[in-house]
Order: sequence, then C-alpha cells, then structure tokens
Amino acid sequence: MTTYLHDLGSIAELTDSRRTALRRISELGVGAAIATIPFLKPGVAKAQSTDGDFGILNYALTLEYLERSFYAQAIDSGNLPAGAEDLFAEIRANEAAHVTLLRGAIEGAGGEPVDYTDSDFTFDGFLGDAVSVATLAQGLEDTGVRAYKGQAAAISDPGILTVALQIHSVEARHAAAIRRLPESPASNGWPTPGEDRPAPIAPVYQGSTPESNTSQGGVELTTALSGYSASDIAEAFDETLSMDEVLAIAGQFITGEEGDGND
Amino acid sequence: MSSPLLTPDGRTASRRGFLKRAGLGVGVLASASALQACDSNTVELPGVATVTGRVTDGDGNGVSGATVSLSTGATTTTDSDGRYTFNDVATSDAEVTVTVAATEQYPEESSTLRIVAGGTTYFSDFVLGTVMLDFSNDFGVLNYAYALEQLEAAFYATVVGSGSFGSTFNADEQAILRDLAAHEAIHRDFLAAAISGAGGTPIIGLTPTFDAVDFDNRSSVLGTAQVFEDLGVAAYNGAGRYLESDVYLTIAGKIVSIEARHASVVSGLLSPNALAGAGVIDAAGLDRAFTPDTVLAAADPFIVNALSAVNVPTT
Repeated sequence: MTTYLHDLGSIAELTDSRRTALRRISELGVGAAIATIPFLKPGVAKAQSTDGDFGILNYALTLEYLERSFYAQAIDSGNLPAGAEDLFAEIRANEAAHVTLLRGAIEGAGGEPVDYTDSDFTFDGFLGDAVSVATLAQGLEDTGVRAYKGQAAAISDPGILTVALQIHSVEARHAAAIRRLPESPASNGWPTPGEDRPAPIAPVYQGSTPESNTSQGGVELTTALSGYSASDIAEAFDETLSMDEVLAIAGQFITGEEGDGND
Repeated sequence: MSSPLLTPDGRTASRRGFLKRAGLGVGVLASASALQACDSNTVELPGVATVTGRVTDGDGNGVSGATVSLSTGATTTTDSDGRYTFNDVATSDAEVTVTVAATEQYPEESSTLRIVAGGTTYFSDFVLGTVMLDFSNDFGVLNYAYALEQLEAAFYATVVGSGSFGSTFNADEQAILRDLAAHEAIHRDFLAAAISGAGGTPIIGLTPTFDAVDFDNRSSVLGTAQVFEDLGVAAYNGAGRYLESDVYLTIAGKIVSIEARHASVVSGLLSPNALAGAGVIDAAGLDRAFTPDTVLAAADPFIVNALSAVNVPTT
C-alpha cells in the first residue's frame, strides 16, 4: 500500500512551513492578489499592507457579508425550502456572527475591516422559488468551504488559523445541511462525482483542483490505496479554490460599493 | 499498578519500544515451590531455571497469542490468559532478554533478566504499552489524526457489518453510513500511507471497544456517530496550528470539512436540519477546537490502548 507514496517525502521537504510561508506571502503573494481584485476596495489594500493575514481576513469577511446578505434576502423572499425556516435562520445568525467576529479580529489587530451591507449584494434570479434558493445556498456554502480551505496554509498567526478553521468547519456543516434539503440539486451532504450541478453553481465544483480530484499530496490514491472506488476517494476529500476562483464566483453578486455606508 | 522495575540483581530492566503507562513488572520468586511442584524438570535439573510471566494490555487483560522469545533462541506463544513459560533456561546463559514481539496492536517490548540460580522461577510480566503521539513534528500530528480515523473507521465498519444493519436503518441512512464507513477508511489508509511514505512510522493498529454502543439501536449508533464526528472536527480544528507543512495543513483541511459534513448529516438524522450536537457551535458561530489531551480523554472509553500526546506546542 505504501509503495506508491514515497513522493510525499519529497513534498514534505519542498513545502514551506507556515512561518516561512508568511515571509513568502508578505514578499509577493497575497498583496499582489488583492491588488487585482476589483470589488475589494481600499479598505483591503490598506489593511493587508501591514500584514498578509489582514488580507485573508478581509477576503473571508467579504464572503461572510455575502452569505449573510443572501440568507437575509432569502428569508425575506418567503421562498424557503419546506420546513427550512429554522435552518435558514440559524445559518443567517452564524454568518452574521462570523461578520462580527472577523471585523473584531481585524480591528483588534489594528487593521481596517471592509464594509458591506446586505443591500450591497444582489441575487436576482435565485430568490423566486425554493429550488433556486436551495441551489444558490448550496453553491455559496460549498464556495465558502473551499475558500477557507484554500487560504489555511497562507495564514501565519496560529490563533487566526484556528479561528479560520473553526469557521471553515461550520461552513461545511451548513453546506451539508443545505445539500440534504430535498430542494437542493445535491443528494449527498458532500460533493459527489456525477451529481447534478446546475449551470449557475457549476463553477463552484471546478477550479484548478475540481471536486472530482482523487490525488492528494501528489499521490494518485486510486492506485495507491486498494479497495475503494474512485468516487468514494473523491468524496473523502473536499478541495480548495484559489482566491481568484472564489472571487470570480462571489463577484457576480456584489453590486454595491464597499465602504460607502449606504444601506 | 506499581510493579517493581527490577531484575533479580537489582538493576533496572532495559526496555525498548514505547514507554508503558503502567510500568513493567519484573521480579523473582526466591522460593518458587508451588511452580516447581508443577514442573518436575525444573526442580530436578540443577543449573536450569524457569522464566515465566504474563502479558497484559493497559487494562490488565491477558494478551493471548503474543510471540515471546528469549535471547537464547527459544520461542513460545502466550496462552489465552496471556501467560508464557520457558522451562529450560540454563543458568550458564547468565543474562537473557525476554522479548514480546510487536503485534498489530502493540509495539515490541523487552526486558533483560539475570539467571543466577538453578531451580528458580524468574518472572517477567509485560504491560503492553501506551501509544505515544509525539507532536514535536508533523508525523505526530498526522499519527494523532490517524488514531482518530482508525477509531471512526472501526466504528462504521462495525455499524455496517452488524447483522441488524438492514433492519435498524432505512435505505437513506444505510447509504449514508456506508459512505461514512468508506470515507473514514480512506482517511485512515491515506494517513498511514502518507506517514510511512514520507519516512515516518505510523502508530500501531489500535484496538477499539464499542461495548457502550448498542448496534441494534438507531439512536445509540447515530448518537455515537455524532459524538465521534463532532470530536473529530474539534480535533482537526485544534491541531491545524501544530502542522508545519503547508501541504499537510491543506490536506487536513480537506479531511476536516468532510468530517464536519458527516457531523452535520448525522445530526440531521437525529434531529431534522440540526447542524451539530447541542452546544457544539457557539454564539460566535464557531465550531470547537480541542487540545489533544481533551480529545484523547474523550476517545479513551472507545480505545483499549492508552494514548498519550507529548511535546504538544504551547503556542
């Protein structure tokens, strides 16, 4: 079983520790990425210029604003999936708490949080019926899971990393619960190869490492492990999305100006 | 358990492999008349001693079928109560090492005896050891995850292998539990392969115990699953900060969100649309992040082996 996995040894040698990664990021990584994001306004640029973690926190905060706004507008629409009123209220409360927490973390560390209101986001075409609501909810939650996961290794501060992981797993719980709703296009709580992924949310499951991936740490697990189907192997690992990939998805819904105070 | 760590001549017994939780009992019975009465060979041949003892797990249960060997070349196997005996150990060998070979559950253990008197019975008991999780490097963190995945995989394998599986759960639940069994087994096998592939040593296969679970009872099984999944999430969340490798941290993230999805789905089976066990998500919208000590204490009732986390970073 282990015969095929010697590559992991060299991977361990090649990769940076988090501490090294921080230096790398502050030199050339997140700052450059943030600067190219059109909808992240000066708040981000100012904040991240002092610490790479601020950039990641504001990125996370933006996604939490997006989710909070979606749940608020979905609840207001009256088109929730059957019997899901409590679930949507609980998730909305979690996302609102994440906004508060992340703003506090950024301000507490001397950074400047981005400012969005619920009305800065528009979900036209997704709020007219319960299937559309469940579909976008699934897409946004799965995006959140992949987004946090994609930044974990870039976070330098152990305390911030732990909090990010604590949010990340809550987003995964949200995603699974939404996916289990009959109105959701998914049938399982976890991304499954071959499942229905309607066009509006299909990009959530693509990216440079699509959810169908069966290779981890450079090792193809369908050959390295025996006794498991490729489908089960793909399901057993969630995948990452890069910041650019996430922002291409999230950016579709951001219609207001960051930091203008309009509600 | 506070057995003396002394050989007949008063030296401390040597040990290899992992440290033991309960100590290694080695002693000598100066007048072993009871045993001698049962063994005429020992009594009647001057210059020949008996070496005997019992091999137990951390809970005091005999470990049967363990291979025990002497440095003289003799080999035997422990009986159903974990006992072994060598009858013909020559005093001319002076010093013999008793070795209990590694099993699937336990690392190798050994101790050295000085054989100084014929017609004497020497005792060497073994308490098979604590599994150490050394957090001073990433292998310890990965082994910690490997231990938890072993527990989860064993649990779901028992669930889906139960004769009452088909009658206890509906079709939807059966499909979910089969998926969970596959995912956790994949996590387990992946971690073992990743550790050894990178030059580390995976911990032994642990012995789970699910005596507290009623596998014919839906609530018992799903309640236990919820505890395990919520605990697994808290363990990964708490341990991510210890990983130095970006690759391992990202892979841990790929696993933990699956554990969180499991936890959510199982919670939803227990209570419609529930996301987690009661109180797991706090007012700040955060999942739990536990230290290794907290996790291992929670897992202890379900694992026969003793596990100990050492060198856990304090920052």
